[in-house]
Amino acid sequence: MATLSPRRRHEAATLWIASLATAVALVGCGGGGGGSSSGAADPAATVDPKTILAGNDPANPIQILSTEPNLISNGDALVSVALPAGTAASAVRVLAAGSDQTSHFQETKPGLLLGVVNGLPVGPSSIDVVPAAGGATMATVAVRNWPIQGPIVSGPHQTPFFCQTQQFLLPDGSSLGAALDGDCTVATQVTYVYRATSGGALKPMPSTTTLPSDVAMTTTTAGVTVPFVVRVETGTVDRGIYQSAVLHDPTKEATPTPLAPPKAWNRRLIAIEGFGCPGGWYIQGAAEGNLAIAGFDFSLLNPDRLGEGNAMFANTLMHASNNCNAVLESEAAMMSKERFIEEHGVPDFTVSAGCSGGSYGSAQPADRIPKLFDGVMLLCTFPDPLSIAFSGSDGHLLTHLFFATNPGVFSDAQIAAITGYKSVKAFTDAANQAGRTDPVPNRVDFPGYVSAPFNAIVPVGIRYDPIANPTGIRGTVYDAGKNIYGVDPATGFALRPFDNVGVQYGLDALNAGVIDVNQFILLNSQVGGYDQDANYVLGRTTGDPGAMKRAQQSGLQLGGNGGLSSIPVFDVSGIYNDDSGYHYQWFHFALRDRIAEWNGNADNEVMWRGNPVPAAPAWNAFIQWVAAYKADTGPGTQREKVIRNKPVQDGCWNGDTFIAEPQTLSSKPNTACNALFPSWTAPRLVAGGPVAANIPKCDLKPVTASDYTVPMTAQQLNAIKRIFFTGVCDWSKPGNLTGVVPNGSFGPSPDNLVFSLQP
Amino acid sequence: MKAVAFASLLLFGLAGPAAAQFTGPVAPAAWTITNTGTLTGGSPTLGSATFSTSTLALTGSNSASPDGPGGFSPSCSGGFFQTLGPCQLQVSVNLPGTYTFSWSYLTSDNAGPGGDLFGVIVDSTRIVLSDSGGANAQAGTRTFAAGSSFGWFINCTDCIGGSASATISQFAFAQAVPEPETYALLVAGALATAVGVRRRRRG
Repeated sequence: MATLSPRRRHEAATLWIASLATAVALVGCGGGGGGSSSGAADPAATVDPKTILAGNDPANPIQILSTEPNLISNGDALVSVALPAGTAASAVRVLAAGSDQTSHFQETKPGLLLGVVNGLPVGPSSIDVVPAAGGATMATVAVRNWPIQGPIVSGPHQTPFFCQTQQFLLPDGSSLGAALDGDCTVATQVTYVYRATSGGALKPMPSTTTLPSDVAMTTTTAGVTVPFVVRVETGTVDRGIYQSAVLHDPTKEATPTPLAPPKAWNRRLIAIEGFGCPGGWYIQGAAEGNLAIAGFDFSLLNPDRLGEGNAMFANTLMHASNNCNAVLESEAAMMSKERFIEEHGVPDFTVSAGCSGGSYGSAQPADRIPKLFDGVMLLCTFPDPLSIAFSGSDGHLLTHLFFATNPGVFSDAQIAAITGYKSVKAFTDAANQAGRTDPVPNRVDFPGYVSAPFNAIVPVGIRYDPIANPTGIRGTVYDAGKNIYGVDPATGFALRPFDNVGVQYGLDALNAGVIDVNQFILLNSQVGGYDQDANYVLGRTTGDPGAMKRAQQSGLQLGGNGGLSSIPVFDVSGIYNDDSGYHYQWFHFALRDRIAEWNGNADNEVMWRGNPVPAAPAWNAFIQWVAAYKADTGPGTQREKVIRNKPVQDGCWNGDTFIAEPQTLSSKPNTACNALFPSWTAPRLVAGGPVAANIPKCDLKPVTASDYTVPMTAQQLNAIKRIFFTGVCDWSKPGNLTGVVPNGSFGPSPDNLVFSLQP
Repeated sequence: MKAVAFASLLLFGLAGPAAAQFTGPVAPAAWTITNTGTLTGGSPTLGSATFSTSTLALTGSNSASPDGPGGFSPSCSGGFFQTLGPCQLQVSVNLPGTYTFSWSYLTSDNAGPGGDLFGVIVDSTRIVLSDSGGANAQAGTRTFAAGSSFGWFINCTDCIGGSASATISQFAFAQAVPEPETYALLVAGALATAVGVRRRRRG
């Protein structure tokens, strides 16, 4: 294998740097995985420079365009080579791990070679450019390849893992078929669907050699008019079922490649995420996360998006109902996007959009892996599943207190004031979401509470039961993320990040005079905590410090300091319902505040609220925003470009009327939008915690009388001191706030390694 | 007539011995006094109970906070303020029956009655009688029916800040009334006895 010393490599790069600048511009890789970072001043870089993935060296004539050089999967990569000025393409050879693959390349622009190398071995190797006539290596890039079934950065494979290829249906209604191995692999299949002139859903193509007589025509955003025929590719990536869809006419076009992409593709790529997290563990998934809601359609085969020329991609492990681990989800997205690029070319930009689980399915990977997505549109927004679990866990303790151990002590109005929610119903619905943290099956608790949720395909006999099967698999968000949280060596259970030490539940309700001092004392002395099995215990819960830290470093708790800092974040509400169902308004503001906290402001985030927000204007504004900043070649950081190209401002929709005004969190009708869409909060916020809800463990301070605006006796103050004998939360301090480590690895990739369960 | 009178007398006796004050089956020797849990603070004072014929006086445990004077950390291992925990003085008896008593409670805890909870244990279930949010001195009269055991407790929760005491007075106990089936057997036995006596007299 030909390699250069670092010094010679630098010299070679210097010689070519002028032509490279041109070449990179010609490639126009934009949001591609290999695009050079404009983020020297990216706020993400301020977290911990040691952990930032190097990625492509912009000075290197060889650029890996399909992913980062050290994160290649399946042995293949889309590569560009910038030739020195005056050098003919025929004068060089391109070697991949020593194998001559020059024939894979074409000179797509003067001085620029583009091609897909393959056959890279698992592990480190290099791609080299050498003189065709022989001689010293002209340029080289070190790469590291990983198996297509992963893992790369998500830690050891989850076991057991149930394949669902047989349940997975292709667009023509047929089964994907049985998996070929224990990694749930299948042979890649291509199917074609088309849109009929009568409209409606896409239909299977009867033939790939003749167009149906009733095929509709479509004109893309690029102005290309073609038959509305869509190529759907289905295969397996990272043990999930991967699919892509894009306009492609098999009767006239060859199989797409980066050198010959589908002619109607508008060079835009949309990621399909999913929804609901409970039960998303130990399974491959039998369906992608297609979801149509509130006028929006986030489906792989959305005719509107496909007809515009957009390409779509999905992976069952990007769907939270199949996989509730955002580190694995982002890995699946990264590898699936790589697959797409290697088969179609580099998109101008990639966006992700979704509702509920699709909102955090978009935001978390975007924050974890900068450059994965160039913009996200969020509906039914949560920052992350952890915020649902944490607020649910607070609430679940309170349901136990209000309805089991101290019934009748608190009125409904007081319960609402203590919990922050609009009503008892709103509170209990949110509290029941603690079920996703509870490994004990069939726990009888508050009505509507479901513990240990599993997909039905997971056999009951292998599931954890503290008595009958104490070594069984545990169905919780924590155990699904044990590669990140870590494992208790004594039990094998995932370490847990929930912590409520020092939390003064109902503090604002006390200070507002809604509850009296004795109720406040009772509330906080009785609320208790959980053990590792989510059983109630008398004392408060101390979260595992490592688990809390890594929840943030990994992005399982959304940071807002990673990739999300520098892309458009368009929150368009989707659902307005603070009465029930737990998709509450405060989550929108939590996400916003996390971005603002790390970046000084949330100027790259826009919030539209409505019930619903009109879908077409929202989508068009979002795409306009992304396209505008991606096309901005002016000076400044990416974040600055995002902000200065923002075409929309905060506001809300009253029917078809848009009211432009900053969106704020308030249950009072203090603005026009808050009169229409008032917002309530959650227990930790009533306890004085930040709206961002991003401090898993607060700093503590001594109890002082001045914290309370209501009079209390010396005995009562002593009682509070006794309850909070280690102190109460000092929310003016950052606590253990950490933020995400962009491109952080949880193994086996050694780069940016944050933590690994593997020795 | 004499037989009926005999049977009635027998039934009356089988309703169980009634005891006013701590006498008979509920005399002081019948009760078990226990301190549960572990005090971890300095200068621990374990709870105590003292009987007289008419009263029972209980004083709960207390200790200094492990943090030292003025500290607020619990001195009961596993104990938390105002929460029924493991550190407890309890006085109990294994007798089914009905227990009626008056109680008075007084705490010296610097955090008030939430620091030391007074109550009863009925068939192993603890029922708090003192009001955590109430006055330092409290009192009441209660009746409980126990199927197997009965007792009183003072739970010192976190067991710092001062102890509480309770006094039981006006105590009365009635042993459980037998079930109907038992009555039937007793009546049958009484009748059989009466018939036997009558036959012997005729003979």
